[in-house]
Amino acid sequence: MARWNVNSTSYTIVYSLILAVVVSVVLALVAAVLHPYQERNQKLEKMNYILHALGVYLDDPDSVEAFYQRTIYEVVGRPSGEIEEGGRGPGPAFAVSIAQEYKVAPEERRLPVFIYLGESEPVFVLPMWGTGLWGPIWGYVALRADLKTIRGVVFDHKSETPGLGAEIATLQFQKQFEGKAAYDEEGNVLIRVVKPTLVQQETDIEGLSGATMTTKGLDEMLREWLALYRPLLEKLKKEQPWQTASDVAQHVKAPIPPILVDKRESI
Amino acid sequence: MGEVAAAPRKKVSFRQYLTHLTEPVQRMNPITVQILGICSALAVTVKLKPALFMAGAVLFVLVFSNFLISLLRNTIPHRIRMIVELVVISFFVILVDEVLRAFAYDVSKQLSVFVGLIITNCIIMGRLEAFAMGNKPLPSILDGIGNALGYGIILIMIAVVRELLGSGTLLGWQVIPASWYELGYINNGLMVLPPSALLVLGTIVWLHRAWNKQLIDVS
Repeated sequence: MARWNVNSTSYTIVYSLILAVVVSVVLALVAAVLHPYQERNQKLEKMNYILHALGVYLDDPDSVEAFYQRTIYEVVGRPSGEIEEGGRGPGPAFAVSIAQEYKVAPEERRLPVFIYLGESEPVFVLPMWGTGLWGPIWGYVALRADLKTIRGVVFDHKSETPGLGAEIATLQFQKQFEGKAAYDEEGNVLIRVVKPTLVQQETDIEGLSGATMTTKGLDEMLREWLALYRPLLEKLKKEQPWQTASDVAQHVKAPIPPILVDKRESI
Repeated sequence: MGEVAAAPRKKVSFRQYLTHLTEPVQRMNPITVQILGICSALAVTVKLKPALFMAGAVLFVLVFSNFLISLLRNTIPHRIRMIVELVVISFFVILVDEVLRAFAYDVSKQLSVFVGLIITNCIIMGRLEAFAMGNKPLPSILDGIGNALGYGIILIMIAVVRELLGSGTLLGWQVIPASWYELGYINNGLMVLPPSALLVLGTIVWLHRAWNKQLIDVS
């Protein structure tokens, strides 16, 4: 080491250059090697959101993917009710980033719908995105074929307060939505998330006390997206595009017995 | 720079080596005595699982950066030594972050930005400056393990208290029996909020000093 003057300017420049190049090359290699694993994790997370909203819980990543591919038909539509694309999952709707759509004016958004065909009646899973207190919140609402009753919901958040706003991600909170009516007979959004003291109608969801802003954000998210989805849902119910898609039609005839075990961790 | 090489070669006993490992766990504990790394001790201790992963991540980063900096210590230009230290720390932190995102996705989501913030954890930079820059690789590794353990133990202690009292669980398993809840027991809501970590940490600092009188600051 003594051969070079460690504190000379040229040594310092060369040293920092070599260090920077070595570190960045190694990190780039690591990132490239791990990327497929990370991508699969994100894909599985999204599939699990959708399946959990339906009440389907599978531990093993391979069976999650297999179950999803067998039972989910995807559609991308518009708030006007127009159906743009359809196909087996994971397909056109899976690629739509609801976070990106949230930034677009409501009437111009692309609406992904995940249709569960594992039972005699289809179930529509509607992704949505909104704003909580500290950051984004998002959710998946599973709606029964009567286009009214909620079968189940999943909510999650980026950075709501633990113990307060973060409770939207817990089972106790989400259970409240099961069986509630999302729309009235005319198709207007009925469901509301309100302060515990303001619960009036049978369809009101008791919000979280101490988390007013998260509750409000959740309420706004639900009402905004449910209203946007309505025309598309009516069209989907009428046209049933999955019936003509040959590769999924057989599943409607021979429904797969659902796995309905609630294993969500109650935090 | 030269003082390490110039010092007369002295046989270092095993016991002396061992103090590099044991000192930071107790008498020179980075959190309770040096009051470093408090930010992450408050942020990731709501549940035990993220605290364990955080402790593991800091152990990995601290041991490897201490080792690498110690190896390079005589080649690092003095004027950019802190930048070199930072590059080495960042390198290992990014490595940990990438691996967690690939193989422990749910934990990486819970730790979120705090993995990245290991870069700014004062304990790591402090050990590189104070120890690895002037010591041989083996003592540096031991010093790294010792300090990371000292950090991790406190983190785990806080997390156990907070998860047990705040959620009634440990590592997600229900510990407080359901019958207690029926009798009117309720989880302490304060424990899931950041201020409670400060209270628990303060209690640990107090107990530590009550037990080891040497630590009491008489000034």
